[in-house]
Amino acid sequence: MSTAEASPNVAMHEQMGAPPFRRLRVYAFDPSLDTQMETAVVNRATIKIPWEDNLGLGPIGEYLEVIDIDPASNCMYAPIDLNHPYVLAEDGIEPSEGNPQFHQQMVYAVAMTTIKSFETALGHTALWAAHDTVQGSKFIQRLRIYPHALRAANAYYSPTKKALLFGYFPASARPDRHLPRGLVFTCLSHDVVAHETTHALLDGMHRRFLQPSNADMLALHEAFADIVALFQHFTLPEVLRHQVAKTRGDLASENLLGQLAQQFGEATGRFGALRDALGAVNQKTGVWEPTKPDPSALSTVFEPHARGSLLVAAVFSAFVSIYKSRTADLLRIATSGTGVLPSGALHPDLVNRLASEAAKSARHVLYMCIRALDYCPAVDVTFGDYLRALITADCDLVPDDDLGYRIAFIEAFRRHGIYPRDVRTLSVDSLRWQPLASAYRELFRNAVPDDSEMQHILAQLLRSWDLTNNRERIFDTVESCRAKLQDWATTLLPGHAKELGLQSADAALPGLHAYAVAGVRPARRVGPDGQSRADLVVEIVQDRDEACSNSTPDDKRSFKFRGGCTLIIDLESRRIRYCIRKSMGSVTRLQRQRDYEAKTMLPSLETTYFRPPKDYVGEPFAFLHGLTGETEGLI
Amino acid sequence: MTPTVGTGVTVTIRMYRQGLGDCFLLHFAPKAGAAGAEVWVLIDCGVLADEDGTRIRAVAEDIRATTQRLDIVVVTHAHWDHISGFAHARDVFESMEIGEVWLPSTEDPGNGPACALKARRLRELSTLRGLLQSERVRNSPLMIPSVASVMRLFGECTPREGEREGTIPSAEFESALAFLNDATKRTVRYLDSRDQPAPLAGLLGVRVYALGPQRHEPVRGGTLNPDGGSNDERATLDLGVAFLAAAQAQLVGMDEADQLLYKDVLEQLMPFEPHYRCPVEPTLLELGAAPGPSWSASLSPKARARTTKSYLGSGNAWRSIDDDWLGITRTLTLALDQDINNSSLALAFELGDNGKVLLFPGDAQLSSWNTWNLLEWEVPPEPGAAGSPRKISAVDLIRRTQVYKVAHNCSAGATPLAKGLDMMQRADLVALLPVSATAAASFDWNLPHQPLLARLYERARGRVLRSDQTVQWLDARGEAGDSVWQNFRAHVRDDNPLYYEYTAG
Repeated sequence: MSTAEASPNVAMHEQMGAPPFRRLRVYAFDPSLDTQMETAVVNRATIKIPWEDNLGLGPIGEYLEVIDIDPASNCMYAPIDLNHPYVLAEDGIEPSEGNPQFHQQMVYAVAMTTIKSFETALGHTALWAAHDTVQGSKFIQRLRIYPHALRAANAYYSPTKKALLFGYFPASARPDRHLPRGLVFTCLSHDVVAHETTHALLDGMHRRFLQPSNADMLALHEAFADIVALFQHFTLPEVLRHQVAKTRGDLASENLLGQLAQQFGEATGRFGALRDALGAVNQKTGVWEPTKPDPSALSTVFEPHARGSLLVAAVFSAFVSIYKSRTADLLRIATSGTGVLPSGALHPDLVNRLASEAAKSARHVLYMCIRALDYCPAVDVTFGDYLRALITADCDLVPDDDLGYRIAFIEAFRRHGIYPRDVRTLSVDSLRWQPLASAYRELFRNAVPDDSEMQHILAQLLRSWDLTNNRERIFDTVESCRAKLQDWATTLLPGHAKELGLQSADAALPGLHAYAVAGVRPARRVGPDGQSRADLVVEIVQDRDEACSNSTPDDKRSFKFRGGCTLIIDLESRRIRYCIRKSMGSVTRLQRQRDYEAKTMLPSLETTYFRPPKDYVGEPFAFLHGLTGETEGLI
Repeated sequence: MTPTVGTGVTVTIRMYRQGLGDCFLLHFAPKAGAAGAEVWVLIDCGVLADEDGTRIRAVAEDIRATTQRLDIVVVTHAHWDHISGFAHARDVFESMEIGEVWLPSTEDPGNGPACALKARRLRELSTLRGLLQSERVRNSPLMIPSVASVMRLFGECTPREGEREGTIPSAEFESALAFLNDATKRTVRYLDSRDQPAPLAGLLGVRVYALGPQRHEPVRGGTLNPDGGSNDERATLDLGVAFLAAAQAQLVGMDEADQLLYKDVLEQLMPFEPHYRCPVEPTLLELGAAPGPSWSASLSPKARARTTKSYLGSGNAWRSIDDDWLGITRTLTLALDQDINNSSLALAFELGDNGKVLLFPGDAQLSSWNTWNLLEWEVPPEPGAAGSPRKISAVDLIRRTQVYKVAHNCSAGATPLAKGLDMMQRADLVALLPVSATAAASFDWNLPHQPLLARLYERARGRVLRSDQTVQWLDARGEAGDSVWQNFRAHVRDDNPLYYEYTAG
């Protein structure tokens, strides 16, 4: 039922308009922290998510549809009505492990929070990956969430179903913080929900990231999802203050903010959280120790989660140094210049100030990480590319880096051994994507004269991609824009193929496909005049077949070699500002992918018996959590 | 200095070429003038995709034609591709004289923890079998058909007329195990890494070491840690099996007695109290007659229809998740397979003190190899020889390996590099690889793993005897002018299409 109809004073409501937010109660972390005296006080949070006028039972809203079917139990659970007055009056129903309706409320609330921080950072509306059918790409309005889809210690984003599947499982028999053999619900872990939602958001922007052509790609997916989940901790003020007070302001020491999925980790028999950006419990002593950055780890760790956690650690350490530099003055003020805190609890005012600096630093770092996505190459992305994208995006939006954020990132990445292959020095200037040679900068301008139909369509695209607009209309405009740009790419680009990292059809290589305009979207930046501007990001990709390198003659497997470019175009001048290339003609890149394809996956029984069919992209996340202990060798 | 007696022994290793499976006949013979009697050792005898047993019978007949007596029959682990011969050609082996049977200690009926493991394994297997009877499970898109093919290792085989694939618990499998464990006719020994290395059947100069399996010990909480991995992780999976049993109940149906037995278990596994549960639309999940959980209809038929509509309505069936939860069958199958592979009786035959080593690791996976790195034995001098006990480590044995039986048909997870292949430093290293790429491909298995194979060729300088390749193919891999190659080729016998023979020492 609609609350407006039930209200006796409709006129007044109309005058006031809908409220900006809906408040919903959730677990700040997961139910396991509810049962400890120390953390119980902060484990229940009320979060604010954008008010949705037409929120249906489920909840089913603009972005999400929660459908609570539990096939393993042969059951469904009644969908929650978040608009019921009793529910509204109480900020949603009370956190409870035993009530499936609270589970629905929590997945909805946490996923919406994640979507909103994405949209805020990017400055434009989020779209889910389209559904490919024989009739073409279809708009997917809502991501599906199944809170009780699996009976397994697993949760994943399914790109084929455009859905998040959460599992539940009995905890291990070892009594710890959980009831031995009691049920653990992954959909009640704030981190797991944020993590999986991020996978879906990232897939909506960069679909080719799920076609790994190097060891970094799936790892980047995992890392990015972890980063978003981690920094979401800092949006909960009570938790933040509590942890700042507990660590006496030192966020580099063991704390809940840097840990992911405590209950999941412990219930499956690990000592601590599933992943910890700062350190780990020493398996021998059972004591938490900070992890020292190991610059060589990147060449020895290939399992996607483990490799991803290297990137997470780098980002987190960038955050810590930003936070430290932002709070150095506060500490000096509070300690009469010594910088040495006295023993005992910190003054609540200082805790509040430190917490607000931490929240601000976290927000900035998270937004930098998200904005980098607009500047990532469409295919074959590496951690190094990601760093370059991050620096470029930040330079474009914050021309003046007086707080040294970019330096903090570069330093943290360097200490973790993450840097791009193709730069000469690790300075901001050389890390920024390089502008295209001047002769080519006008390519787009030449093709799109003033007042042309194309220019109007593009202008319309930018206008429509407003945060308040109808998402289906945005999708349609993008599709028509893409079709127009495709014409442009097909007819006008071949003469300049090489400079753009493409290969013209006369190369007559086996299985060479024509260029495809894979993505079009806006990117925000701040012009020299301080005004906010929108650039246009156009991704052009291409692929061809290449034979695998294996030295035995009876093996004739082949793989897809993908390349292309991402053009970032200033729409006012129609000049190409950057061209991020993954050249189809690059011999070294081909060799790297060939080596990677030879290794394909980690050696394991899994890859022996369940060899995925060629180009299988069905459920890349479903079985990432395989058996442990059988993946040491690196072939 | 004591003369190195081992140099007085010639070992001929016959690798049968029956297909995807292992069968090795080792002949240890004292050289002319040296003391001692000859010893025949058979290591495994099995093959996959040989439903009527024709091929493995031919192998067994050939063994009997070669020798009437087998001093030792070693079975590395109880997988069909290692034991099918003891079922299909049981009569042939019964007609031969067998001195001893060696099995991994995990098969020992007197080994309590191992028996508990085995009982659990059987439960899990029967659950999987039950599930595989369901058309829905077998046709699930999550590559679950592969599960059926892995079940072949446990003796499931291609159906006979009127039967469905992957559903027949093979009576032959039990028959082979019964034959091997029969201690009334011969000595049956159960070995593991705790056993003291011993001279082979009284033959001077040949010493046998068991690198695996590890002897299982009860650990915290009374549960077992069969694979060196996380104990609790396995326990979690254990409970996943209970979930699967529930699935079996749903999908396949159970008879009334079992229903009563499982009723409480099924109820315990429900995530929410009965008053939260609503039955799904009968058509929704296409269930058969299931002993469904108890529920109360907290959702009106209209509301139920509405949920069903948002789940499947307006062309949304492609987003349904009816079967996704069955993905756990994959994890379970792999865990089962891994448990057995890692219980492999891995043997190293040392020819003479500090001499060359023949390494037969069975199908040990990487986590087994990891435990070998810590193994060390104190070895007394040969009877009658002078000297003090030596300390021999497994690492030392791997380093001295001259003949390596490639573990697990050259799969990706069974031969480590740093802790395995790269440690084998002898310039005359020879690898014996029983495999059939064709059979593996027919199950869509990734065998042999090409990168590992390439590495093997590199380490052994082309001296890899592959059971599924011809001798011409082999010769294309070596350099005719190379003296080590010539020496190797001179020791390979290829005149019988049934086997390759390599003579070492």
